[in-house]
Amino acid sequence: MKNPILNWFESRLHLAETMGPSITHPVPRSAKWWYVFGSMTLVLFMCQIVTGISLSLMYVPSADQAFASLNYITFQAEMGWFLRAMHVWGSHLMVAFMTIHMIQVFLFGAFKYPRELTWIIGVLLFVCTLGMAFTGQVLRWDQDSYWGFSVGMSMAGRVPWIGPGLVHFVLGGAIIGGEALTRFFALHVFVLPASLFGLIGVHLLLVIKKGINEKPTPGVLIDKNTYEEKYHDLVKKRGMPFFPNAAGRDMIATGLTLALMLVCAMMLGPSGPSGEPNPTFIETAPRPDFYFQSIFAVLALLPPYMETFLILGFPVLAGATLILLPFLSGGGEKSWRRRPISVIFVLALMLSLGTLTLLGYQSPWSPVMNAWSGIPTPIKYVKGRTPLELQGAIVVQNKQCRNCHMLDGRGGQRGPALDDVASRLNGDQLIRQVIQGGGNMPAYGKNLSPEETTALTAFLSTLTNEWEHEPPSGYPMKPRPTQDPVPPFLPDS
Amino acid sequence: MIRVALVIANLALLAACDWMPGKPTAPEINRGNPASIHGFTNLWNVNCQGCHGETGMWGAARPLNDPLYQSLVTDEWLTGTISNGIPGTLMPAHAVSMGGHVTDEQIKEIVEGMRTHWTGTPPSYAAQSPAIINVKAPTGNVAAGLVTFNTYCSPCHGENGVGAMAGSPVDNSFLALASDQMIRATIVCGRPDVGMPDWQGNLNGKPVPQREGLAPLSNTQIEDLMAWITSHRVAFPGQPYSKDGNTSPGF
Amino acid sequence: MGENFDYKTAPDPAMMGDPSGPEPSRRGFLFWLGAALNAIVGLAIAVPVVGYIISPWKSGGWQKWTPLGNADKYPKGQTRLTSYVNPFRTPWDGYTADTPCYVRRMPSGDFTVFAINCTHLGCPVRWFPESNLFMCPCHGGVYYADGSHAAGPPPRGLYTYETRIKNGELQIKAGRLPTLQQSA
Repeated sequence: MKNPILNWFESRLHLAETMGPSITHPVPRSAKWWYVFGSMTLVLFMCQIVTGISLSLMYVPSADQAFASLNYITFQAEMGWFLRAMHVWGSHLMVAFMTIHMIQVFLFGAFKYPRELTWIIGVLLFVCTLGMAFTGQVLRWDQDSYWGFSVGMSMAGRVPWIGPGLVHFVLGGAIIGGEALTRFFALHVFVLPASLFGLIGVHLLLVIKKGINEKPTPGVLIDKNTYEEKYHDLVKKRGMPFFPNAAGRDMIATGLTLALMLVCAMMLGPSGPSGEPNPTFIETAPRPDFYFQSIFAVLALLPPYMETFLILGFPVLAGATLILLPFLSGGGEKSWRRRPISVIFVLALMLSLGTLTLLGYQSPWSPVMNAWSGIPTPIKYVKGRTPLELQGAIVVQNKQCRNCHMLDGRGGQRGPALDDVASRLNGDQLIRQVIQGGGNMPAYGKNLSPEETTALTAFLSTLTNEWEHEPPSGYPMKPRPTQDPVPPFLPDS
Repeated sequence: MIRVALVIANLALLAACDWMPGKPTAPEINRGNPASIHGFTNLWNVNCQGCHGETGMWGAARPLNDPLYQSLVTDEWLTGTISNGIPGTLMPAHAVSMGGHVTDEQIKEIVEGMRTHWTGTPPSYAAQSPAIINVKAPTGNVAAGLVTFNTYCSPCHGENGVGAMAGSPVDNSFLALASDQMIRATIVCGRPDVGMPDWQGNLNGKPVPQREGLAPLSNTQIEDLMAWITSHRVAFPGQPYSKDGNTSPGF
Repeated sequence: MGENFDYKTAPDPAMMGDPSGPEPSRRGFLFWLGAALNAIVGLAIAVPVVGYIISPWKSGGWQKWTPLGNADKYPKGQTRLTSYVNPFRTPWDGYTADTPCYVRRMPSGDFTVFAINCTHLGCPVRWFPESNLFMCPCHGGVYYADGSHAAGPPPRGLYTYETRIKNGELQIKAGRLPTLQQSA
């Protein structure tokens, strides 16, 4: 050590002495670009700390002020919106890269002997990160956040035996209000970050002590008696120091990651705040954040009898499987080329998550709550209709049919589109379907008068591809035969 | 010096900032709060266009963007109808006090908006038109009504109202859903969008061929028509299994 | 790098004090005494801390009779949206303490008060007087006018509050967030 000043510090801190071997620890040469995802996640976490602390300078964690302070940060504080955008995109990307990191580790067999504990700590890091994502969404304290919280509590309320107690424990009181927000604030800024710091420390320590997984060679099985010896041989003879050789790749990757986050923040902006979290503003259609879209979709599509099990059992089962994974499959083949089931599993998981997320964004199961008064009857279905049929068209609007059924591509998608309903159902079948409902349609029997049903059926009977009386454009009407929508039938004669 | 540099850097950042497409423009504080919607077009689009059409025409329900109709209804009547709906018909009550979610202030905005946004000129005979609001139960002559109907209306609605190209106006289900008010307004103002002429025999300012050579409908004729049409109301409308509708279907 | 500092050198015995020290049994006693002292003090700290944190954990309770205004303001044969201020509010709850609910008054004059939360996952249901249905915007749960399940994923009908009329005022037993095992 030439520099006397540095030497003075070093003789007191012993930094180079203690950290030196760590940052120059040898890594296998096969650790190429595949191994950068962990660093990418870590750098995003550090960035989250910076933007998070900055946001805490103006955020007020109080139920009556939080929303106002968020709007202040977003619309008045200088660059405030950009800070919020960076924080939310940092969070999205952190979840994304952490998932990729996990998949890479899984496919390269890095969770196997002797790195079981590294994997387990990683699973805990994943759980804590998702916890940060959910608590962060709650802190946004807008309508989506408020009702997302309500959904979370409805799930917690399903836990056998302790459900109700648990709900109030999480809420810190009776309802979603001030005490609930501060609990989540404490989790988001103290408890979870501290856990993350601690876990990351252990994770990195293990990475150094147990070494980075060598790129697996297909056909080479793990021998627990000789693995460590062989690995040390490998890195000693043919390895390279992490710093500066392998670190270069990591730094390029982390730089690009942060650049990606900046671009996302610039182009796509912050998330919300989407509306005052006033519970009396009920004319809202809450939607979850990106990571929960798949859960949102699953909960709409599951048969009800499986729901409670899946809401409560699946996370526990998934967590347990992940933690137990190194013990269930701790040895044997490492390479994904010889582990077809693992590859299929990852592909299936990604496909289903992707599909469910996409479906979550489309949410065809959600009624369009304002369709009945806000989406007009298509003009082509007004043209040439009789007075009765026009009343039927009003019934379609007035009775909220449009909330779940599309006409000419507009309206809800919960039920089938009605544009060609008359080619599928005849008059009697239409009446039966309307009166009795079925297949996720409420029975309208009690809610429609006979004249409304008749008018509705008359209108729906004109909705067919082959309606021969469609008037030509230019002239409003054209002669058509008298219509008797329902054949007369006397049951008691 | 440092200060100046900081200010310049700051300005550069701010300038850059407005270029960024991600910058949010307006807070969305009132989402989910229908009382916060303002402006005629916004209110119309949320509350009215479903039935009355995007432009106030070509909806399933009565076209309101009709200069003759607008000249015959008063602000009070429109306000009352929007607020309280028309009981027995498909027009729901919208006022908050009636269980709807349109505030009195917003209803005023809608009524004023209809007057100012739709600028069609009413026809010259608008002032002589028979009244269409505050309609009382018809007192006309049913037999005379049938004669008038077969003279004026049958070309489109069929002899005795059995329905031709424009369908039957005496179907018992239709009559159960249509108020006297609505029937009278339709006879007087027609439906300019779907092609029904007004009491003068004009459709959008031009006489229709079916009414050629016929005098405008008189108030008495309208009363007779009303009487004949509403005489088709039955005790049990819309019963598919009861032929006349005056006896209970029995279940 | 760190070659100047050989941390492997054995420490100077002179710095360790008297190697004989107290007798092993006495050293063991002191260790266990210290450990016990810390355990006791630790417990004394943990009890209030944990008690403070888990104090909201109660099932049942969180209910108080809450006024919904004069009973006569609810027309017979209709269902109306109204709201009450949560009885367990804190001063900093702000508008989040305003809880909406639906009051259904039967033609006979009897009241049923429904919670706003869908029984599926707690989203706010909306009442449509035209079709006499409650619809949920999240997963498409639908309920009839009497609150019973009509369609979609909800496992039961709408949550109802206990009601009473006191001095002409409609009151409900309210306060807690309704969930599947603990109705409103």
